[in-house]
Amino acid sequence: MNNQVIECQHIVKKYGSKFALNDFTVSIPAGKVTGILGPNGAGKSTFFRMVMGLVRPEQGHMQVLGSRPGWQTNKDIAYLPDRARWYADHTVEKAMQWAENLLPGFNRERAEKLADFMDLDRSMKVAGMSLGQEARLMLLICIARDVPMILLDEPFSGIDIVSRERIIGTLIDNISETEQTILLSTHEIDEAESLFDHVVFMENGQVRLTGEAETLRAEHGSMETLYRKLYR
Amino acid sequence: MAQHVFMHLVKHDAIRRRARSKEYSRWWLAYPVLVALVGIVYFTIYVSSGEFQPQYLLYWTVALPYGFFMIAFARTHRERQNGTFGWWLSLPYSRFLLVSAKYTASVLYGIFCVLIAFVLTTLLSGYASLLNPMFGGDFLKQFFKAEFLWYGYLLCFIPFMAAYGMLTSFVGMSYLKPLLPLMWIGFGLSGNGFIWLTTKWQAFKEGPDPLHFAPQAWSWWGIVASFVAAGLMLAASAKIMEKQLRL
Repeated sequence: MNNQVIECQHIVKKYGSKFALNDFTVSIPAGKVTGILGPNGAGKSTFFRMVMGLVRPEQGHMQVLGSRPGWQTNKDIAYLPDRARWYADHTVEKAMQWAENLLPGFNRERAEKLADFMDLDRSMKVAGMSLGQEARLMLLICIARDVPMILLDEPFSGIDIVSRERIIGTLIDNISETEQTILLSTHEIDEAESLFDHVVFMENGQVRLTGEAETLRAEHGSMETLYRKLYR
Repeated sequence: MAQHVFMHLVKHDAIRRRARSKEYSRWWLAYPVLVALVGIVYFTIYVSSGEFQPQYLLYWTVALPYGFFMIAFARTHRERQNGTFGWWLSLPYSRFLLVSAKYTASVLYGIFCVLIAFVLTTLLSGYASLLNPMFGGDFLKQFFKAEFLWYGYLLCFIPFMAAYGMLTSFVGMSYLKPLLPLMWIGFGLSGNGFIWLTTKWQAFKEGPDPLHFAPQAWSWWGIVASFVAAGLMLAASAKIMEKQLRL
Protein backbone atom coordinates (compact mmCIF):
# COMPACT_ATOMS: atom_id res chain seq x y z
CA MET A 1 0.00 0.00 0.00
CA ASN A 2 1.10 3.52 -0.76
CA ASN A 3 2.33 5.21 2.42
CA GLN A 4 0.14 8.26 1.72
CA VAL A 5 -3.53 7.75 2.57
CA ILE A 6 -4.68 11.08 1.17
CA GLU A 7 -3.22 12.88 -1.83
CA CYS A 8 -4.56 16.29 -2.84
CA GLN A 9 -3.28 18.21 -5.79
CA HIS A 10 -4.28 21.79 -6.57
CA ILE A 11 -7.77 21.44 -5.14
CA VAL A 12 -10.12 24.39 -5.56
CA LYS A 13 -13.50 24.69 -3.84
CA LYS A 14 -15.52 27.90 -3.64
CA TYR A 15 -18.68 28.85 -1.74
CA GLY A 16 -20.09 31.71 -3.77
CA SER A 17 -17.14 34.01 -4.38
CA LYS A 18 -15.21 32.82 -1.31
CA PHE A 19 -12.50 30.19 -1.66
CA ALA A 20 -12.84 27.40 0.91
CA LEU A 21 -9.86 25.57 -0.62
CA ASN A 22 -7.57 27.35 -3.03
CA ASP A 23 -4.82 25.44 -4.84
CA PHE A 24 -4.74 23.10 -1.86
CA THR A 25 -2.00 20.49 -2.17
CA VAL A 26 -1.18 18.08 0.62
CA SER A 27 -0.20 14.46 1.35
CA ILE A 28 -1.25 12.69 4.54
CA PRO A 29 0.99 9.84 5.70
CA ALA A 30 -0.44 6.45 6.63
CA GLY A 31 -0.46 5.10 10.19
CA LYS A 32 0.15 8.45 11.85
CA VAL A 33 -1.84 11.02 13.77
CA THR A 34 -2.01 14.17 11.71
CA GLY A 35 -3.18 17.43 13.23
CA ILE A 36 -5.06 19.67 10.81
CA LEU A 37 -4.64 23.09 12.36
CA GLY A 38 -5.59 26.62 11.50
CA PRO A 39 -7.93 29.47 12.37
CA ASN A 40 -11.68 29.46 11.70
CA GLY A 41 -12.41 29.59 7.99
CA ALA A 42 -9.06 28.07 7.03
CA GLY A 43 -10.82 25.27 5.12
CA LYS A 44 -10.29 22.37 7.57
CA SER A 45 -13.92 21.19 7.63
CA THR A 46 -14.25 21.53 3.85
CA PHE A 47 -11.15 19.35 3.48
CA PHE A 48 -12.66 16.71 5.79
CA ARG A 49 -15.99 16.79 3.94
CA MET A 50 -14.16 16.39 0.66
CA VAL A 51 -12.31 13.35 2.00
CA MET A 52 -15.75 11.90 2.84
CA GLY A 53 -17.05 12.69 -0.65
CA LEU A 54 -19.70 15.05 0.77
CA VAL A 55 -18.40 17.99 -1.25
CA ARG A 56 -16.60 17.79 -4.57
CA PRO A 57 -13.62 19.75 -5.76
CA GLU A 58 -14.24 22.18 -8.61
CA GLN A 59 -10.67 21.74 -9.78
CA GLY A 60 -7.78 19.52 -8.85
CA HIS A 61 -7.37 15.89 -7.99
CA MET A 62 -7.92 13.97 -4.78
CA GLN A 63 -7.25 10.34 -3.84
CA VAL A 64 -8.35 8.77 -0.57
CA LEU A 65 -7.01 5.29 0.24
CA GLY A 66 -6.09 4.94 -3.42
CA SER A 67 -9.53 5.82 -4.82
CA ARG A 68 -11.62 8.84 -5.70
CA PRO A 69 -13.55 9.83 -2.55
CA GLY A 70 -17.24 8.92 -2.44
CA TRP A 71 -19.70 6.87 -0.42
CA GLN A 72 -17.88 3.72 -1.55
CA THR A 73 -14.66 4.75 0.23
CA ASN A 74 -16.52 5.70 3.40
CA LYS A 75 -16.69 2.08 4.54
CA ASP A 76 -12.99 2.44 5.39
CA ILE A 77 -13.28 5.78 7.17
CA ALA A 78 -14.75 6.69 10.55
CA TYR A 79 -15.83 10.31 10.55
CA LEU A 80 -16.84 12.62 13.37
CA PRO A 81 -18.49 15.58 11.64
CA ASP A 82 -18.03 19.17 12.74
CA ARG A 83 -20.76 20.44 15.14
CA ALA A 84 -22.41 17.03 15.06
CA ARG A 85 -25.05 15.89 17.50
CA TRP A 86 -26.31 12.39 18.17
CA TYR A 87 -29.91 11.14 17.86
CA ALA A 88 -31.63 12.53 20.94
CA ASP A 89 -33.90 9.53 21.47
CA HIS A 90 -31.03 7.01 21.52
CA THR A 91 -29.54 5.53 24.63
CA VAL A 92 -25.84 4.61 24.64
CA GLU A 93 -26.90 1.00 24.00
CA LYS A 94 -29.12 1.99 21.08
CA ALA A 95 -26.37 4.15 19.57
CA MET A 96 -24.03 1.14 19.70
CA GLN A 97 -26.70 -1.03 18.03
CA TRP A 98 -27.14 1.61 15.32
CA ALA A 99 -23.39 1.61 14.69
CA GLU A 100 -23.21 -2.18 14.73
CA ASN A 101 -25.96 -2.39 12.10
CA LEU A 102 -24.84 0.41 9.82
CA LEU A 103 -21.12 1.09 10.22
CA PRO A 104 -18.76 -1.51 8.72
CA GLY A 105 -15.99 -2.60 11.05
CA PHE A 106 -17.75 -1.51 14.25
CA ASN A 107 -16.20 -3.50 17.05
CA ARG A 108 -18.84 -4.03 19.73
CA GLU A 109 -16.43 -5.43 22.28
CA ARG A 110 -14.11 -2.45 21.99
CA ALA A 111 -17.09 -0.07 22.10
CA GLU A 112 -18.21 -1.57 25.41
CA LYS A 113 -14.74 -1.21 26.89
CA LEU A 114 -14.60 2.38 25.69
CA ALA A 115 -18.03 3.11 27.16
CA ASP A 116 -16.78 1.90 30.55
CA PHE A 117 -13.59 3.92 30.24
CA MET A 118 -15.50 7.03 29.20
CA ASP A 119 -17.96 6.56 32.05
CA LEU A 120 -21.01 6.21 29.81
CA ASP A 121 -23.88 4.24 31.27
CA ARG A 122 -25.55 2.01 28.60
CA SER A 123 -29.05 3.10 29.61
CA MET A 124 -28.25 6.82 29.53
CA LYS A 125 -30.36 8.72 27.01
CA VAL A 126 -28.68 11.29 24.73
CA ALA A 127 -31.45 13.83 25.43
CA GLY A 128 -30.38 13.88 29.08
CA MET A 129 -26.63 14.01 28.45
CA SER A 130 -24.26 16.94 28.87
CA LEU A 131 -22.41 18.12 25.74
CA GLY A 132 -19.28 16.42 27.02
CA GLN A 133 -21.02 13.07 27.48
CA GLU A 134 -22.57 13.31 24.02
CA ALA A 135 -19.16 14.15 22.52
CA ARG A 136 -17.67 11.10 24.25
CA LEU A 137 -20.42 8.92 22.82
CA MET A 138 -19.80 10.22 19.30
CA LEU A 139 -16.08 9.68 19.66
CA LEU A 140 -16.74 6.14 20.90
CA ILE A 141 -18.83 5.43 17.77
CA CYS A 142 -15.88 6.54 15.63
CA ILE A 143 -12.90 5.01 17.33
CA ALA A 144 -14.53 1.65 18.01
CA ARG A 145 -14.33 0.90 14.31
CA ASP A 146 -11.70 -1.32 12.74
CA VAL A 147 -11.08 0.88 9.72
CA PRO A 148 -7.85 2.22 8.23
CA MET A 149 -8.67 5.89 8.76
CA ILE A 150 -10.41 8.07 11.34
CA LEU A 151 -11.33 11.74 10.78
CA LEU A 152 -12.18 13.80 13.84
CA ASP A 153 -13.37 17.31 13.06
CA GLU A 154 -13.23 19.46 16.21
CA PRO A 155 -13.97 16.65 18.68
CA PHE A 156 -13.34 18.95 21.67
CA SER A 157 -15.52 21.84 20.58
CA GLY A 158 -17.66 23.18 23.45
CA ILE A 159 -16.55 20.46 25.85
CA ASP A 160 -15.38 20.90 29.44
CA ILE A 161 -11.79 20.17 30.42
CA VAL A 162 -12.60 16.91 32.25
CA SER A 163 -14.31 15.47 29.17
CA ARG A 164 -11.48 16.75 26.95
CA GLU A 165 -8.88 15.00 29.07
CA ARG A 166 -10.89 11.81 29.06
CA ILE A 167 -11.27 11.94 25.27
CA ILE A 168 -7.55 12.57 24.76
CA GLY A 169 -6.75 9.73 27.16
CA THR A 170 -9.02 7.46 25.14
CA LEU A 171 -7.38 8.50 21.89
CA ILE A 172 -3.87 7.88 23.23
CA ASP A 173 -4.96 4.46 24.44
CA ASN A 174 -6.59 3.68 21.11
CA ILE A 175 -3.64 4.86 19.03
CA SER A 176 -1.25 2.59 20.89
CA GLU A 177 -3.54 -0.40 20.22
CA THR A 178 -4.22 0.12 16.52
CA GLU A 179 -2.33 1.22 13.43
CA GLN A 180 -4.97 3.54 12.10
CA THR A 181 -4.38 6.84 10.39
CA ILE A 182 -6.02 9.61 12.36
CA LEU A 183 -6.74 13.14 11.16
CA LEU A 184 -7.69 15.50 13.93
CA SER A 185 -8.65 19.14 13.65
CA THR A 186 -8.77 21.15 16.84
CA HIS A 187 -8.24 24.57 18.38
CA GLU A 188 -7.17 22.97 21.66
CA ILE A 189 -3.57 22.60 20.46
CA ASP A 190 -1.96 22.72 23.87
CA GLU A 191 -3.92 19.71 25.12
CA ALA A 192 -3.86 17.70 21.92
CA GLU A 193 -0.33 18.30 20.71
CA SER A 194 1.10 15.22 22.38
CA LEU A 195 -1.08 13.18 20.00
CA PHE A 196 0.38 14.54 16.78
CA ASP A 197 3.03 12.79 14.68
CA HIS A 198 2.50 15.06 11.72
CA VAL A 199 0.85 18.47 11.32
CA VAL A 200 -0.68 20.53 8.56
CA PHE A 201 -1.20 24.23 9.20
CA MET A 202 -3.87 25.75 6.96
CA GLU A 203 -4.81 29.31 6.14
CA ASN A 204 -7.27 30.72 3.59
CA GLY A 205 -7.80 27.36 1.98
CA GLN A 206 -4.09 26.66 1.48
CA VAL A 207 -1.34 24.79 3.28
CA ARG A 208 0.75 27.27 5.21
CA LEU A 209 3.18 24.76 6.67
CA THR A 210 3.41 21.00 6.98
CA GLY A 211 5.88 18.62 8.57
CA GLU A 212 6.76 16.07 11.21
CA ALA A 213 5.63 17.20 14.66
CA GLU A 214 8.92 16.23 16.29
CA THR A 215 11.00 18.27 13.83
CA LEU A 216 8.73 21.29 14.17
CA ARG A 217 8.77 21.03 17.95
CA ALA A 218 12.58 20.91 17.92
CA GLU A 219 12.65 24.05 15.78
CA HIS A 220 9.90 26.06 17.47
CA GLY A 221 9.41 24.69 21.01
CA SER A 222 5.80 23.61 20.81
CA MET A 223 2.93 23.47 18.33
CA GLU A 224 1.14 26.18 20.23
CA THR A 225 4.15 28.52 19.95
CA LEU A 226 4.41 27.77 16.26
CA TYR A 227 0.66 28.34 15.83
CA ARG A 228 0.93 31.74 17.49
CA LYS A 229 3.90 32.65 15.27
CA LEU A 230 2.09 31.64 12.10
CA TYR A 231 -1.25 33.30 12.77
CA ARG A 232 -0.20 36.33 14.80
CA MET B 1 -26.05 -6.91 3.03
CA ALA B 2 -27.86 -4.06 1.19
CA GLN B 3 -31.25 -5.52 2.13
CA HIS B 4 -30.19 -5.93 5.74
CA VAL B 5 -28.93 -2.31 5.82
CA PHE B 6 -32.09 -1.07 4.12
CA MET B 7 -34.26 -2.67 6.79
CA HIS B 8 -32.18 -1.11 9.58
CA LEU B 9 -32.36 2.29 7.93
CA VAL B 10 -36.13 2.05 7.48
CA LYS B 11 -36.55 0.96 11.08
CA HIS B 12 -34.33 3.80 12.28
CA ASP B 13 -36.31 6.35 10.24
CA ALA B 14 -39.76 4.92 10.91
CA ILE B 15 -39.53 5.11 14.68
CA ARG B 16 -40.65 8.51 15.80
CA ARG B 17 -38.07 10.14 17.99
CA ARG B 18 -39.32 10.97 21.45
CA ALA B 19 -36.68 12.90 23.28
CA ARG B 20 -38.98 13.97 26.11
CA SER B 21 -37.90 13.05 29.56
CA LYS B 22 -39.89 10.34 31.39
CA GLU B 23 -40.46 12.81 34.17
CA TYR B 24 -43.06 14.68 32.06
CA SER B 25 -44.38 11.83 29.92
CA ARG B 26 -47.59 11.49 32.01
CA TRP B 27 -48.29 15.20 31.57
CA TRP B 28 -47.91 14.93 27.81
CA LEU B 29 -50.30 11.97 27.80
CA ALA B 30 -52.88 14.01 29.74
CA TYR B 31 -53.40 16.45 26.85
CA PRO B 32 -54.58 13.96 24.18
CA VAL B 33 -56.84 12.31 26.77
CA LEU B 34 -58.36 15.68 27.67
CA VAL B 35 -58.84 16.61 23.99
CA ALA B 36 -60.46 13.21 23.30
CA LEU B 37 -62.89 13.64 26.24
CA VAL B 38 -63.89 17.17 25.19
CA GLY B 39 -64.21 15.96 21.57
CA ILE B 40 -66.54 13.08 22.52
CA VAL B 41 -68.76 15.39 24.61
CA TYR B 42 -68.89 17.94 21.76
CA PHE B 43 -69.58 15.23 19.17
CA THR B 44 -72.43 13.77 21.27
CA ILE B 45 -74.10 17.20 21.60
CA TYR B 46 -73.57 17.94 17.89
CA VAL B 47 -75.06 14.64 16.68
CA SER B 48 -78.01 14.92 19.09
CA SER B 49 -78.77 18.45 17.84
CA GLY B 50 -79.71 17.08 14.40
CA GLU B 51 -77.30 19.42 12.55
CA PHE B 52 -74.68 16.72 11.99
CA GLN B 53 -74.10 14.87 8.69
CA PRO B 54 -71.69 11.85 8.71
CA GLN B 55 -69.81 13.08 5.64
CA TYR B 56 -68.55 15.97 7.79
CA LEU B 57 -66.29 13.36 9.37
CA LEU B 58 -64.44 13.05 6.08
CA TYR B 59 -64.04 16.70 5.09
CA TRP B 60 -60.78 17.25 6.90
CA THR B 61 -59.21 14.28 5.12
CA VAL B 62 -58.82 16.29 1.88
CA ALA B 63 -55.84 17.84 3.72
CA LEU B 64 -54.15 14.46 4.21
CA PRO B 65 -52.12 14.62 0.93
CA TYR B 66 -50.44 17.75 2.32
CA GLY B 67 -49.65 15.74 5.41
CA PHE B 68 -47.97 13.00 3.32
CA PHE B 69 -45.73 15.67 1.81
CA MET B 70 -44.81 17.11 5.21
CA ILE B 71 -44.03 13.70 6.70
CA ALA B 72 -41.33 13.08 4.07
CA PHE B 73 -40.12 16.68 4.04
CA ALA B 74 -39.67 16.73 7.82
CA ARG B 75 -37.83 13.39 7.92
CA THR B 76 -35.00 14.76 5.80
CA HIS B 77 -35.12 18.29 7.16
CA ARG B 78 -34.92 17.00 10.73
CA GLU B 79 -31.51 15.39 10.10
CA ARG B 80 -30.11 18.80 9.27
CA GLN B 81 -31.90 20.65 12.07
CA ASN B 82 -30.88 18.13 14.72
CA GLY B 83 -27.21 18.09 13.70
CA THR B 84 -27.27 14.43 12.65
CA PHE B 85 -27.00 15.17 8.93
CA GLY B 86 -23.25 14.45 8.79
CA TRP B 87 -23.71 10.97 10.27
CA TRP B 88 -26.44 10.16 7.79
CA LEU B 89 -24.62 11.54 4.74
CA SER B 90 -21.35 9.81 5.52
CA LEU B 91 -22.91 6.34 5.72
CA PRO B 92 -21.14 4.11 3.20
CA TYR B 93 -24.19 3.24 1.12
CA SER B 94 -25.53 4.46 -2.20
CA ARG B 95 -27.42 7.73 -2.00
CA PHE B 96 -30.43 6.03 -3.58
CA LEU B 97 -30.49 3.45 -0.79
CA LEU B 98 -30.42 6.18 1.88
CA VAL B 99 -33.14 8.19 0.13
CA SER B 100 -35.29 5.09 -0.50
CA ALA B 101 -35.10 4.07 3.16
CA LYS B 102 -36.31 7.48 4.35
CA TYR B 103 -38.97 7.42 1.65
CA THR B 104 -40.19 3.96 2.65
CA ALA B 105 -40.39 5.05 6.29
CA SER B 106 -42.42 8.12 5.22
CA VAL B 107 -44.79 6.04 3.08
CA LEU B 108 -45.32 3.57 5.93
CA TYR B 109 -46.06 6.41 8.31
CA GLY B 110 -48.49 7.91 5.76
CA ILE B 111 -50.31 4.55 5.53
CA PHE B 112 -50.42 4.38 9.31
CA CYS B 113 -52.02 7.88 9.45
CA VAL B 114 -54.67 6.87 6.88
CA LEU B 115 -55.46 3.73 8.86
CA ILE B 116 -55.83 5.74 12.06
CA ALA B 117 -58.12 8.21 10.24
CA PHE B 118 -60.15 5.30 8.84
CA VAL B 119 -60.58 3.67 12.24
CA LEU B 120 -61.52 6.98 13.87
CA THR B 121 -64.16 7.91 11.28
CA THR B 122 -65.55 4.37 11.37
CA LEU B 123 -65.85 4.46 15.16
CA LEU B 124 -67.40 7.93 15.15
CA SER B 125 -69.90 7.10 12.40
CA GLY B 126 -70.85 3.95 14.34
CA TYR B 127 -71.27 6.04 17.50
CA ALA B 128 -73.38 8.59 15.54
CA SER B 129 -75.68 5.79 14.35
CA LEU B 130 -76.27 4.81 18.00
CA LEU B 131 -77.16 8.38 18.92
CA ASN B 132 -79.33 8.98 15.87
CA PRO B 133 -81.06 5.97 14.24
CA MET B 134 -81.30 7.95 10.96
CA PHE B 135 -77.57 7.25 10.47
CA GLY B 136 -77.89 3.50 11.07
CA GLY B 137 -78.90 0.57 8.86
CA ASP B 138 -78.55 1.12 5.10
CA PHE B 139 -77.13 4.60 5.55
CA LEU B 140 -74.30 3.24 7.68
CA LYS B 141 -73.55 0.53 5.08
CA GLN B 142 -73.45 3.12 2.31
CA PHE B 143 -71.22 5.34 4.42
CA PHE B 144 -68.73 2.53 5.11
CA LYS B 145 -68.58 1.71 1.41
CA ALA B 146 -67.95 5.34 0.42
CA GLU B 147 -65.46 5.76 3.27
CA PHE B 148 -63.54 2.65 2.16
CA LEU B 149 -63.28 3.86 -1.42
CA TRP B 150 -62.29 7.36 -0.33
CA TYR B 151 -59.51 6.25 1.99
CA GLY B 152 -58.31 3.74 -0.60
CA TYR B 153 -58.07 6.58 -3.08
CA LEU B 154 -56.17 8.74 -0.59
CA LEU B 155 -53.66 5.93 -0.07
CA CYS B 156 -52.77 6.19 -3.77
CA PHE B 157 -51.56 9.77 -3.19
CA ILE B 158 -48.92 8.80 -0.65
CA PRO B 159 -46.12 7.70 -3.06
CA PHE B 160 -46.27 10.89 -5.12
CA MET B 161 -46.68 13.36 -2.26
CA ALA B 162 -43.98 11.72 -0.11
CA ALA B 163 -41.50 11.74 -3.02
CA TYR B 164 -42.35 15.35 -3.73
CA GLY B 165 -41.81 16.26 -0.06
CA MET B 166 -38.44 14.55 -0.10
CA LEU B 167 -37.36 16.24 -3.32
CA THR B 168 -38.44 19.66 -1.98
CA SER B 169 -36.38 19.10 1.15
CA PHE B 170 -33.26 18.24 -0.88
CA VAL B 171 -33.77 21.17 -3.25
CA GLY B 172 -33.87 23.46 -0.19
CA MET B 173 -30.51 22.16 1.00
CA SER B 174 -28.79 22.32 -2.37
CA TYR B 175 -27.45 24.72 -4.95
CA LEU B 176 -30.88 24.42 -6.61
CA LYS B 177 -32.44 26.40 -3.75
CA PRO B 178 -33.71 29.17 -6.12
CA LEU B 179 -36.23 26.57 -7.35
CA LEU B 180 -37.74 26.31 -3.88
CA PRO B 181 -40.58 28.88 -4.36
CA LEU B 182 -41.72 26.91 -7.40
CA MET B 183 -41.65 23.71 -5.38
CA TRP B 184 -43.83 25.29 -2.67
CA ILE B 185 -46.31 26.59 -5.28
CA GLY B 186 -46.42 23.04 -6.64
CA PHE B 187 -47.05 21.80 -3.11
CA GLY B 188 -50.00 24.19 -2.73
CA LEU B 189 -51.51 23.04 -5.99
CA SER B 190 -50.69 19.35 -5.79
CA GLY B 191 -52.39 18.31 -2.54
CA ASN B 192 -56.11 18.50 -3.12
CA GLY B 193 -55.71 19.97 -6.63
CA PHE B 194 -54.99 16.42 -7.67
CA ILE B 195 -58.20 15.26 -6.01
CA TRP B 196 -60.24 17.99 -7.78
CA LEU B 197 -58.80 17.06 -11.15
CA THR B 198 -59.18 13.33 -10.92
CA THR B 199 -62.61 12.97 -9.36
CA LYS B 200 -66.15 13.84 -10.36
CA TRP B 201 -68.20 15.36 -7.59
CA GLN B 202 -71.90 14.71 -7.76
CA ALA B 203 -72.54 17.79 -5.69
CA PHE B 204 -69.77 19.82 -7.28
CA LYS B 205 -71.34 23.22 -6.64
CA GLU B 206 -71.42 22.55 -2.91
CA GLY B 207 -67.73 21.65 -2.83
CA PRO B 208 -66.00 18.29 -2.41
CA ASP B 209 -68.05 15.72 -0.59
CA PRO B 210 -66.11 12.50 -0.09
CA LEU B 211 -69.38 10.67 0.43
CA HIS B 212 -70.44 11.32 -3.16
CA PHE B 213 -67.12 11.14 -4.89
CA ALA B 214 -66.15 8.87 -7.76
CA PRO B 215 -62.82 8.77 -9.60
CA GLN B 216 -62.77 9.73 -13.27
CA ALA B 217 -62.35 6.78 -15.62
CA TRP B 218 -58.81 7.87 -16.46
CA SER B 219 -57.86 8.65 -12.82
CA TRP B 220 -56.28 5.24 -12.29
CA TRP B 221 -53.89 5.93 -15.16
CA GLY B 222 -53.15 9.23 -13.47
CA ILE B 223 -52.32 7.32 -10.30
CA VAL B 224 -49.97 5.00 -12.22
CA ALA B 225 -48.30 8.05 -13.80
CA SER B 226 -47.90 9.57 -10.32
CA PHE B 227 -46.11 6.40 -9.16
CA VAL B 228 -43.68 6.73 -12.07
CA ALA B 229 -43.20 10.42 -11.24
CA ALA B 230 -42.50 9.43 -7.61
CA GLY B 231 -39.73 7.08 -8.78
CA LEU B 232 -38.19 9.83 -10.89
CA MET B 233 -38.33 12.28 -7.98
CA LEU B 234 -36.57 9.77 -5.74
CA ALA B 235 -33.82 9.33 -8.33
CA ALA B 236 -33.54 13.14 -8.59
CA SER B 237 -33.29 13.41 -4.77
CA ALA B 238 -30.45 10.87 -4.74
CA LYS B 239 -28.66 12.76 -7.50
CA ILE B 240 -28.99 16.07 -5.65
CA MET B 241 -27.72 14.40 -2.48
CA GLU B 242 -24.68 13.11 -4.34
CA LYS B 243 -23.72 16.17 -6.34
CA GLN B 244 -25.58 19.32 -5.38
CA LEU B 245 -25.78 19.50 -1.59
CA ARG B 246 -24.75 22.76 0.01
CA LEU B 247 -22.79 21.88 3.14
